[in-house]
Amino acid sequence: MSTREFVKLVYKNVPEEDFMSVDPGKCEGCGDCVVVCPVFLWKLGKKKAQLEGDYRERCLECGACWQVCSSGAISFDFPEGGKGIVVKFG
Amino acid sequence: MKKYDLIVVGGGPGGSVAAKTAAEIGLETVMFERGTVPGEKNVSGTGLSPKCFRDFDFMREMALPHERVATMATLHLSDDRNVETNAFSFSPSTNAPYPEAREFLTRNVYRSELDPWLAGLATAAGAELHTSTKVTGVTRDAKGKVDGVRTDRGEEFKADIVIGADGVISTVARSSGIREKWDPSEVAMILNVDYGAKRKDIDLAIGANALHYWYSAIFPVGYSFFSAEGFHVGLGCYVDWWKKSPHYYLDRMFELPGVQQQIKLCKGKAREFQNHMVTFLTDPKTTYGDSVILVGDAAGFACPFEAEGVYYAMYSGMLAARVAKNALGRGDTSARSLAEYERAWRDSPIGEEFVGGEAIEGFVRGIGFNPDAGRWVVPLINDAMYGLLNVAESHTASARNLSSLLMPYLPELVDTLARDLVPLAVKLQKPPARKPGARISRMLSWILPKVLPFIAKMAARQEENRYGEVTTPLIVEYFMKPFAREKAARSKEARR
Repeated sequence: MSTREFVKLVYKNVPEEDFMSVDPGKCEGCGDCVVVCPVFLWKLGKKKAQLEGDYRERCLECGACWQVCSSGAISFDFPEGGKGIVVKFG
Repeated sequence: MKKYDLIVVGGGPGGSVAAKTAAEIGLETVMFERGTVPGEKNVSGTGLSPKCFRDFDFMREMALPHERVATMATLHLSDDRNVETNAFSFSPSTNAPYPEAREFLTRNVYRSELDPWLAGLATAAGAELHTSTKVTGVTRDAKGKVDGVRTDRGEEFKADIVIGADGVISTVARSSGIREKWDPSEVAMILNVDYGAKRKDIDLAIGANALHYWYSAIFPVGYSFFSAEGFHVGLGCYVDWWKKSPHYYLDRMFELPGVQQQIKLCKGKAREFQNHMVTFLTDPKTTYGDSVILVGDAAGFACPFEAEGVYYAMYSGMLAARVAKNALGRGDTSARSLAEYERAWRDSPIGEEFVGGEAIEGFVRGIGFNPDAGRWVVPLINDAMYGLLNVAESHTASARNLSSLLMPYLPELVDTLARDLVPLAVKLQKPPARKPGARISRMLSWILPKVLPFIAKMAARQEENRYGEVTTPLIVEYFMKPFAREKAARSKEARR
């Protein structure tokens, strides 16, 4: 058993607009975002962080990747009002 | 365009109490929440402390459908084999300082029930609430002074003061220039799985022993907290701490038979996966600016020991609304005028929490959030108990062996005492009534380092006390007893 199975247990009004991005020019490829994200939205490709294409459907909006990004490459904003994660049992 | 006295960004407990207080004291107030309902974005450890009910009359009216009152908490210890070796519980003290503190440890609730209820109190008091509305930043007048906010619907709202109650990531704090994002060392990430269960199953398996902490030599400190029909199982640590995926540590915690037992006995069904950040500050320094006041997590007001946030958010929300009213009365909403806010929170239970900030942080980083410390803390506690209570040998033999069982831990224990616990104890002491004399302090600093090592060496060499049979009962009778009587009498007097 792994708690990784639980990451699908997330309720969403999937946002229509992008609310996160990474600037490859600034990314130093440290991988901190890859380690810290508990729903696996990041991977390293060519020594740069890459955001999964379906991140809007899975992101918990915790902001941890943005918080650990020491090079300032990751931008994070909340999804548009009324969209995004719906926490039912917070 | 309608102009308000006060804009509150964020419909959590901090924002709602700010808006409620402001509306009650006559301020035209509007509050924005990005979720479709307040609480929709929020995750908590679920426990409301007795302080919430001591300090807010309206909280005593709280009646949420899925509350569980915790009157017992249990700390579980597990070692570097991932074996649970110990569990200790505690309950409210009958000598606790006020009624609620004597009644319960926490009242465990869900934010999806608490937050809408609090927001309802704010709107009932006359505050306006806009849900599904994200504030994208503050607006400024021709002179560059903050004069409102802009929403993602392209609308602008104007007010003399903006309260940022918008959490750890706080758009208000950043867009108003009060600060950039926190340093990673100042923020923790806490993830958990929420389980649903039947009330009767939790009643049977857990009852009111509804707060469980799991301290480990492998994963950062975890918890399982129970509400009426569900529970959270998770753990957290500073965002700059994780060397492996958080799931690696969460898996180790879930492997503990004690955790599995709770899930199985409650017949829990995993319902939701959650993660959130909380601030862990030693001293909040960025809590206001020109025309802007920050409350709750936006200001960094979570308790740096246990990450309790709701109470501090509510309290700072109340203070912020009062300060806003005063500043508007003075006709001056500059940072200089709003400095009243910092004086107010420092002089409140919030400020009290940060008196020992740095020392508490040292303790949390050194032991609480540090599984490496668990490698010796857990066996030390276990061996002490084992040494006293085991039946593997005669109790005479066990008692004689106790010191050799514990001595190996001594250097690490003393190191930790010196590094993490002594500074904490010194910092949390009440300042002395009479100032210490400089000459005596100098003398003590000179003489103690010369005398103490000598005494220490002598004490460590002492193998046996030939006169123990004579001296031990005499020490108890003529030193310990009078000391205990005098101390107890003085403490009773002080409490009166």
